[in-house]
Amino acid sequence: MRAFTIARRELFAYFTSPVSYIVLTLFLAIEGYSFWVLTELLNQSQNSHGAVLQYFFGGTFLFWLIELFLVSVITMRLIAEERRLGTLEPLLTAPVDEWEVIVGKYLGALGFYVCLWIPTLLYVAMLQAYSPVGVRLDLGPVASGYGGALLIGASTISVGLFCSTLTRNQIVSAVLAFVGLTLLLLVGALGDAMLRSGPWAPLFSYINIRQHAEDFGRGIVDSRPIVFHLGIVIFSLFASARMLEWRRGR
Amino acid sequence: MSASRATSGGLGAGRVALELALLAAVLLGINYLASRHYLRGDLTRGQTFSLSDKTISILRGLTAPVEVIVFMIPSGPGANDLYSDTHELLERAARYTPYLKVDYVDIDRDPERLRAAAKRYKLDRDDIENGVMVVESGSQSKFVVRSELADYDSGDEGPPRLIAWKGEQALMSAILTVTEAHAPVLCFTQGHGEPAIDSLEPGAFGDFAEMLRRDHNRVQAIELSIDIPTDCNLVVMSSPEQPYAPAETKRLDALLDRGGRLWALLGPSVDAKIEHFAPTGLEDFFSHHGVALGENVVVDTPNLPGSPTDFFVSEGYGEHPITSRLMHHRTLWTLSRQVRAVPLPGGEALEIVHSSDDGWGETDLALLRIPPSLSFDSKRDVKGPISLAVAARKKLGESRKHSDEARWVVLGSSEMAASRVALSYNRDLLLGTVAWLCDVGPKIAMGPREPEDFRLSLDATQTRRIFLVCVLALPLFALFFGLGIYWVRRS
Repeated sequence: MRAFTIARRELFAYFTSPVSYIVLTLFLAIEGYSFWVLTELLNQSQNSHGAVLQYFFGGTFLFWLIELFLVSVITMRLIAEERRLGTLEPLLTAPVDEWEVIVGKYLGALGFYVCLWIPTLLYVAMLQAYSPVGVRLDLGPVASGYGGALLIGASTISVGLFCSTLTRNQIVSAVLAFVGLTLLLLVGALGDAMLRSGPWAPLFSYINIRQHAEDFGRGIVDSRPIVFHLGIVIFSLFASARMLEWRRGR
Repeated sequence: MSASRATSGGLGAGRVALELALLAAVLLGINYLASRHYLRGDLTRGQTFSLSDKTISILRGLTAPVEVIVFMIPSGPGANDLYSDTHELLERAARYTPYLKVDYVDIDRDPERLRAAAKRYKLDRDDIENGVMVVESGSQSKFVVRSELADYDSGDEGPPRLIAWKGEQALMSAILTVTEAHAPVLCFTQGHGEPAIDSLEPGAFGDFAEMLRRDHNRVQAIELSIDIPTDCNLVVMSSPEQPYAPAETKRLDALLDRGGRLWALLGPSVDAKIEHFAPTGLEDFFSHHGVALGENVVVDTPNLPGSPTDFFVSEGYGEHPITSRLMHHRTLWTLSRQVRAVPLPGGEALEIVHSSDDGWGETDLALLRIPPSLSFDSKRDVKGPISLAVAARKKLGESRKHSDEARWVVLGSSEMAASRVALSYNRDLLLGTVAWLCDVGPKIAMGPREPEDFRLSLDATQTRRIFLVCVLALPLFALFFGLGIYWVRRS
């Protein structure tokens, strides 16, 4: 319950911070541009087959650029700023556990991430509005695409939060998160691309988060990426709580 | 909580590391189990990716190992547009049986494996350019090519657009085919100067025979001077240099009498000087079996540049299982003669391929000797449309046990099978003929999946409106809203 109080406080802090609005503006500009390019493609007679928004959810370089950037920026302040300002100790002396602090901050960041995506529902409404008479947009892949974006956001934010516990400098935290998440993205994607057969192929295919996003965007909901990303969330949150506890005890 | 605080106050780095290692081990174990036992849902409206109950039942019933080797470029320049659908199909199929092993050969990145596989499976350039899936079980194998995986709409402009995904049926048919012990035996008659089945020389049937083997057939040569072996499921004969003897056509009579199957690829037969049409010895035999062989060379348009006897057929297909997949697709006919259906007592003979109305049967063989300036001569030539292929069947009496009907097909060209550059739809025609004659059509009937085809038809104003709203208005609204909040908080 106290975690939810912290989450609410954190979410409010996001909406009163100018940096959050800069992040929101950048996010909407890039996603809006991606969507506009997509409508241009759909407007051509020879578009490729498949779910309409599959390239919108993880199919482009722009998606990953903004995803990793915004996760690094919205998580950099979570713990690092509290430590820099010296407000972490008072928080920990309050009747809350480290776990509750970590989960609360995590839920706050995740809530803000969800809020970033909400305006993009306008794109879906526009596609519906402009679809030809008698043609209905298949909303199943759209829903799973958003589900995939949420799942990937959940795991990357947890990694970002962990990076924020490692330092009191927000920029260092953001750089650590961006580099770490880029590595996570590249190891899976490049490994999967380079080794499609052989004993390591299933491993790289399993951790290929780019493929996870594309699959969700096509309407494919697989239990394996769900377990994988939830595993990252649990590990990162546990590691963050332990890191906080350890630093406090030093 | 306070207890928790007290104990954690002295948390050492070693303990933290140990706890993290333990948690990592537990999560790795969970992920390992999850990778072995997983669910894969399909939220598309048309259940595009879901396997049918019939497919799941076949997969669960597999008792022998089946290996599927996929030769495709997954991404980057030249990527195969069917890769992700093929991958998805195999991913789902492998869930239902431990006997299905899937291997991918990245044509682009794995040249060593490609070389070894190309040698082993005798892949050709078309396979590598278009992608192919080899389904193998024990000594049996079958190739599944692009045209079996999907249907395309050629359209007026731009690249062909995928309109139907047939991968599930193609894969299941191939699995059922290779897990059956028996491959149809195709017996090619030899001894009259027919194209050799073991030669890759121009005009020979080496490539054709290989194509048939890849489609799960056994190919062998036979002499008609002795009785036709009883294990021949189909006798294949082609344009002879010397005519067949009456004793040999009697053996063909006996073959059809016992419900056998016969396929004749008979282009125009001419004498050595290319001045007169030469007899094949089969004219009477076929006239008694509902097919009349014309003495002419078919000319039509559109044709290959400078070669009016190499023409395309795209609309002239009759309603028949052999040609059911060919309508609106181009087959190339090379050096063809007219083959007409004539009344067949007790059976039916159908003309299944025609030239266009503009085509005709040219009777002047000079066109084969000198570059022609051809024109239709109404007195001598045969006016189009010209029948190029006939498929016939005849029910047999109750007493014949071998098969309940005889089937035979006559194609008016043997060159189309000898061509080294077989167009994909020529391949479909040739393999479709074998499938109908041997009665080994698709092992499993399954409708194709039609992928979502969502296209917009926006005018310039609407496109501009989307740009203004999505790229400018929405982000600027967020920016000004943020500035407003900042200003309010400052003041």
